[in-house]
Amino acid sequence: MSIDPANDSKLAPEANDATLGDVDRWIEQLKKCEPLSEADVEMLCDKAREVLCQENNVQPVRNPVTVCGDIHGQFHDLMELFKIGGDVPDMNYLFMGDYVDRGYHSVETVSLLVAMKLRYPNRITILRGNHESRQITQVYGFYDECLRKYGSANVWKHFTNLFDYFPLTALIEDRIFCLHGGLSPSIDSLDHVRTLDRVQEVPHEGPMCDLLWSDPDDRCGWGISPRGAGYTFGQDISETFNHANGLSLTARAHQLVMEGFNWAHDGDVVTIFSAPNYCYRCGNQAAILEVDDTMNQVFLQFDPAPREGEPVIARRTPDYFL
Amino acid sequence: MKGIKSKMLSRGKSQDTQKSSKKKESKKSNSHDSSKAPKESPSTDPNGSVIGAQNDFLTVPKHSGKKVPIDTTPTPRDEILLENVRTVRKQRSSLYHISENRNLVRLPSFTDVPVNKWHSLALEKLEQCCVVFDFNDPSTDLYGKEVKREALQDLIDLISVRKEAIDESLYPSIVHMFAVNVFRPLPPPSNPPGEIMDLEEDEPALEVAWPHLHLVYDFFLRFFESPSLNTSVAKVYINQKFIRKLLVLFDSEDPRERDFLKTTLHRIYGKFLSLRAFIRRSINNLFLQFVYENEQFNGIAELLEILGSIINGFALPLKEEHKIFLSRVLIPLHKAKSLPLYYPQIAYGIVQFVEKDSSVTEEVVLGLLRYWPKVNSSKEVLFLNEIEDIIEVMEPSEFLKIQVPLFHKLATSISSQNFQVAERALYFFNNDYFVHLVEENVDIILPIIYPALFEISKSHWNRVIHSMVCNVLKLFMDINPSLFDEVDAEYSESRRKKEDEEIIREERWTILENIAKENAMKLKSQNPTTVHSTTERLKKLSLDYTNG
Repeated sequence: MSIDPANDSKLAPEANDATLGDVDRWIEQLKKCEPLSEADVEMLCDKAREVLCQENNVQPVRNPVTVCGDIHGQFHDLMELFKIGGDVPDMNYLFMGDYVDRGYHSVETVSLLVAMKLRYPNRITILRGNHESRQITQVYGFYDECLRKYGSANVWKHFTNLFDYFPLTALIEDRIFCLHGGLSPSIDSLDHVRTLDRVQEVPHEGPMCDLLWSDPDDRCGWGISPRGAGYTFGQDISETFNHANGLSLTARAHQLVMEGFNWAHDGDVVTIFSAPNYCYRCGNQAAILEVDDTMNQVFLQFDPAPREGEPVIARRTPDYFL
Repeated sequence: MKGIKSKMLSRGKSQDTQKSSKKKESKKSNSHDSSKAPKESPSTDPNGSVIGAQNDFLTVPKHSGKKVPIDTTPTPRDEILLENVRTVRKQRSSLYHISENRNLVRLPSFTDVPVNKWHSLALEKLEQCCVVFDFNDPSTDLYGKEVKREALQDLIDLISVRKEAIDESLYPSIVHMFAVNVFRPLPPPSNPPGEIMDLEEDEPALEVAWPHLHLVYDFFLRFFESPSLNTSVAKVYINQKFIRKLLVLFDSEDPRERDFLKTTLHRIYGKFLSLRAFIRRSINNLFLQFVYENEQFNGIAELLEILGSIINGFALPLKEEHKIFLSRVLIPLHKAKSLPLYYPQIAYGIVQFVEKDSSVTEEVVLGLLRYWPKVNSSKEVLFLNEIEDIIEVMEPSEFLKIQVPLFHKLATSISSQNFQVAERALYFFNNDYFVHLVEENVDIILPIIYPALFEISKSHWNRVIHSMVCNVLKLFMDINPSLFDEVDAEYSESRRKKEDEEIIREERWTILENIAKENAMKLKSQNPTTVHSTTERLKKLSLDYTNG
């Protein structure tokens, strides 16, 4: 797969240097849900790439940290998340992927998270989800949103080129393994994950694909995933993996769960989903997981943020028809 | 070419029995979609759908008119998988005028009374069926609801088995019973305005009164289908006002109701000749309102389906009215956001037009190019689908008229960064008739499309697109090797020229910057008289360049 590394940079070299002030300005602008200019996005992605390419496939993370699941362009709910969990940089955050697609504000959401990463690289960790991919974003909305908001696919190119550098997994204090999807039959140790060459489009199969696509399942062993990518894995698999790698927990996102979090495999795996009322219609709660400095774990649940100009919570028959 | 013609013929024939074949047709138009998206994969991926044969798609045997639907770029599905999501089925009711007196007495069934009593019994039952119940509360009037249901069922049996029992004197009661039950204000849309229905993810709101409503529709439909129906009497009741009220109901969110309405209106159109022009005009008005005012109407697909069969029956030459319908209504209907909801029906109608009268081809194709989606990839895929369907029935002489603008558009689609769009456009080259037309006009087409193919062959993030483009380039090379070399040389020449121009432009800017610096220095040294006019020097500069 040939990936052109943003080689069409037309900016003069001196314009490419974003200062801290620039980044602060971007964050401020994005927090108002105003997208950056195309040139700013290009600069943002260039700078962020320098930060992200330094990170490990299994990025070490210190506690205390708040672990979050899918966001999917639900910008106002992300703002609500920061209200519930505390602001960056006062709190540390670990996001487990799927920032784009489906929601109305993928551009603003991913821009903000990347800008925060650039501004506070040690306070926030952003992993890659299965939606941080060229192919998936063209099917599920981010591509079209970029066309709508910028009139060309350039911003989409900048971001998808950047997605290739996102770390695949993270490890909190050597105890909690965090990733978007789940385990892979071709990976049995964290060291194996560390050896993967991650800078590429998410492949259709293989270990890197599995990490972003797999789901835990009630059945034992490995199963064929109904998604057409990744696998389903049973409790035996999770147990063995956690034990072999000295883990107390595998935290992942990727699946909608009605309470925002869901324990599986007898406490070996937890699913965290942070997009409340997913797709503006699923009626689910969102949750984030706070891991404090003693590795205590607390789930915080939250509901969608009310706002204008977006669909109201789950469509219901008006009362006067009931 | 022969193969194509005969295909067209057989296609035309099969549409005589419009209803069943219509289903087939819409399936066919959908086939691009369904074949790629794996079985249970829903809408989330309505257009992740375009298919092409993966490798060597150009070597499909010449005679096979059918496309081989093999996955090109399989996209994993990420539909909303929920095991324990509580899906609440939306059930809603329109505003009914619930009858005051809902105590019904069970009447004997027709088989229990002598034939000469049937008429009066039918009248009584029709009257009973005019009692309207409240279905929002499932616990009320259980007995009455059951009696009415039985009465409706009895009437249906009567009308289908003993047609002669329904004579003209019953017509007013029949129409009245239908009107009382069916004509009602519809509930407001369950989606907020501006939001379009998502085919798979949105459950349509279903009509709670359906247990009675569907029997009423069923009975009424049989009434129209009965061969003994005397239209000259019935037309007193089935009048323009009736049609208007019927059309309003097409906005119902319940697809079951819209399906009955569609068949009912279609029967009326078939039997009541005097209403035909009025029905066409009214549907036109609905469409115009939809396109130009609110883009909100649930029954567009059903109305288009009726029109599809009407278009099918148009006599040649086409009347002016029909041509105006095509250009003012059918083509503009493509611009609505909710096109995917009625795409198979509209594509069918358009193809019918082109097949009937090839002289509309140019207008249709240029119309589609005009409304071509700019920021909606899945809609762009539908447009490409439709263009290919049109090409399949296009006369070669008409193709000549549209090839230039069409191939400029195809070149843009092929260059799209979106793999679904690029794939769909490239998939045209898997169509024998299309390739035949391209072969015939390669000298015009290749220069238009070559730059796009060349650029994509150098860089596209998607491997499949890459190999498809290479195959298409190979195809052109085989069609006319010397032309290919010529066009290739021309294009590399023009690229070289562009590069040179770029270099010159850069140089000029550098010179200009230097002059500006010089001037700034001079200004600083307080000697403004020696500052040369920048424009003067630039002019001189470009003169130097043009003189070599």
